[in-house]
Amino acid sequence: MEIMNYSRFILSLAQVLLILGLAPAVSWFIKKMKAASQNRVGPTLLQVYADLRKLFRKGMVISERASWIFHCMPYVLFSVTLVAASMVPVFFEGSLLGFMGDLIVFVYLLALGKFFLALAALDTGTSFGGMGSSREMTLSSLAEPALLLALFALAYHAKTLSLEGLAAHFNRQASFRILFFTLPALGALLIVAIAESGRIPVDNPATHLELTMIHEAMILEYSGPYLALIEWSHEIKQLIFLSLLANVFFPWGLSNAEGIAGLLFSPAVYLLKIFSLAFVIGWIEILSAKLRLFRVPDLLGVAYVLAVLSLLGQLMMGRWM
Amino acid sequence: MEQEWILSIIHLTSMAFLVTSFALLVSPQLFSCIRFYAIHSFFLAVITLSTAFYNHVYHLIISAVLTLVLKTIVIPQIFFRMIRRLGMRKEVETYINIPLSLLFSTLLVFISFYGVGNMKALDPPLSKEFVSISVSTLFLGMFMMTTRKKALTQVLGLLLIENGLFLMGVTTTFGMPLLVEIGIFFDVLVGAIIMGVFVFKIRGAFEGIDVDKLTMLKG
Repeated sequence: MEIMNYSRFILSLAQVLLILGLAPAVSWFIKKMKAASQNRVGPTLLQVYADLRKLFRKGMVISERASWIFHCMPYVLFSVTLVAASMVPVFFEGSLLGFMGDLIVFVYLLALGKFFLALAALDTGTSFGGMGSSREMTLSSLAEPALLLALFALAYHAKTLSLEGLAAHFNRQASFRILFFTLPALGALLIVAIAESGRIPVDNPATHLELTMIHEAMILEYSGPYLALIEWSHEIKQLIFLSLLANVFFPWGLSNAEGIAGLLFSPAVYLLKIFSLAFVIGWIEILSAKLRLFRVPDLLGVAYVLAVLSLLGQLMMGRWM
Repeated sequence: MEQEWILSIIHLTSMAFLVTSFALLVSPQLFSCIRFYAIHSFFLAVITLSTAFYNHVYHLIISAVLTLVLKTIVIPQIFFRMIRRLGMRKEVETYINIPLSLLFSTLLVFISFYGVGNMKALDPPLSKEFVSISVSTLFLGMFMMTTRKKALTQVLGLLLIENGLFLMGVTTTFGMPLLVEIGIFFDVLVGAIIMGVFVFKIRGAFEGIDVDKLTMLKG
């Protein structure tokens, strides 16, 4: 029993480290796809890590009007994202801080990070920061009900609110039979994941055009290590959402810490799932144009309705099933 | 085992049926609206087919094939031709915007779900969620008819209602006698054509198919 707990601990720690290391690579993969679609070469895999390293070594230029919020925001954002990351099961059924809280804590930890991001953008008093944070808050207030409701729809079937429990439950289900409600929930969560990670139909991560930017407008004042922390936590957040999608909707290959073969096998399956999901998101990014800001609520409304239908579908069918 | 597979397919397609009615309701382009109607009818045909196999009512296969041919191929083609000949604008014009109509239609689905209750009176033989799904499709069709400005999209709302009624008929009573059913299909086809002619007449008289202008008929 003692050894069992010890190995679980090691494994969950490895999961968090994997997320930390893998996050820039997933962003790189989408960037590379986009570059390939435009007949460019694109950066190499080492480039993204080199960029992060370079940013960590640089000096910072900070506005003299910046208050303590400006200074503590990158740390708050990064630590909150890290805690949220350690609540998600990655390649085996447990997670490091899974005992700590359920999916409500998970959603609002991410919201706390976003809150500080918006505050810090207002802090220096530039017009871009204010614009960016107002946009971000508007959109996230619309994305949040969809995200929560989609997770609740899944939790209703699993009869548990913990993320570990969700992944374990859907791992044991016959996947075809529950497709009728997981499919709408998957659609809802995919839209929310795209909105939260600032991907193209909602936000464009590759441009600094003042008319369109949301996330970039908020971090315009940051440089050096602070910027590196913010960028990194943004990438981690994107990977968390992808892992959640992968482990709830495609739960095959999630190992339960028994047997070496499963443990060797499951990270490979995990990588395969993550990169195929990243492929889907990159494909959406290539095919679609960025939505006008006033049309984004329509998209998030669609996510909300899909989440409602997922819950309602379970009630309709479940009454007699 | 096989029955269970068919039942899962039925659940899946009925969900897709509901989602497609929403898509039909909120799609901003006229062409995609008609395409969604075709997809909607396709799912209807799949449900009819799986009902036929699940309950061993094989005359429903003919209904399924007729649905597939008429509603997913012929009627959308008629509409496409109509749009091309009218040369009308491609955007759907509504009285209320998309997020609000999404909210309203969600509310309508809720109402039909709770309003239908546990349906002891109907006691349908197949999986019983179809009564609430067809009632909500009815509601969504009515909602579409009341909030659209163009005559063509109102016709689409009417066809949505017809799909809901057909679903109700198939799943609660395994369809009417085949002769009646074929008659209904013919009615729908002729109805679509007649309404097309109406749309042309409306445009001829009022230089547009915006039904707001019909109020000018009042003395």
